[in-house]
Amino acid sequence: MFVVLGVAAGLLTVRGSVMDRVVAMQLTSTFATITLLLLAEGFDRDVYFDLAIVFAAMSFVGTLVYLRALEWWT
Amino acid sequence: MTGSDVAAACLLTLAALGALVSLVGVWAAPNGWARLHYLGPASVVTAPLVALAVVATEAFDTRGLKSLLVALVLGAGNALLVHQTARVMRVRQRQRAQ
Repeated sequence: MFVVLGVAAGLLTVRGSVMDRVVAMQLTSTFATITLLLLAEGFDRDVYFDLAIVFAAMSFVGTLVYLRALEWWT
Repeated sequence: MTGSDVAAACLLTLAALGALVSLVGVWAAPNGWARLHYLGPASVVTAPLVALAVVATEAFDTRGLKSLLVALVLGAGNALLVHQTARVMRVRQRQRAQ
C-alpha cells in the first residue's frame, strides 16, 4: 500500500512548477521513510530501523539544501 | 490473532487513510501554497500511527523507540520544511514580480 502511494507521489514530481515538484518530493520521501519502517518490522531486522532513521534525517537535510539552492538560483 | 495485532491493524489502516488523504490533497490542490497543507497528514498523522503500530506489536523495546524517533524526526522536520518551502515560494514569487 505505501509502496503504491510512494510511487504515485513520485509520479507527481514530474508535473507542475519547480516548487510543486519539491512538495511532491517531500511527500515521496515521507512515504519512503514509512515504507522502510514497515519493511524493517516486516523483515524482523533491527538494523533496518536504523536505515529508516538515517533516511528520514538525510531527506530532511537534503530537502533543506535543495530549498536553499532554489532560493539562490531562481 | 491477539489484541495487539488487532490494534496494529487498526492503526495501520488509519495510517494508510492519512497517507491517502495527503496524496490526493497534493495531487488535487489548486496551487503550491495549498499543496503545502497536505504534507501535514503524511508526517504528523501517518508516521506516528505507524510508529504506534510498531509499539503495539513490539512494546517499548529498541524497535518501538526507533519507530517513535522516526515519527518525531518526520513530524518536527515537516514543520520546518513546510515553513522553509513557503518562504522560498514567496522569495521566488517576489523576485519574479520585480
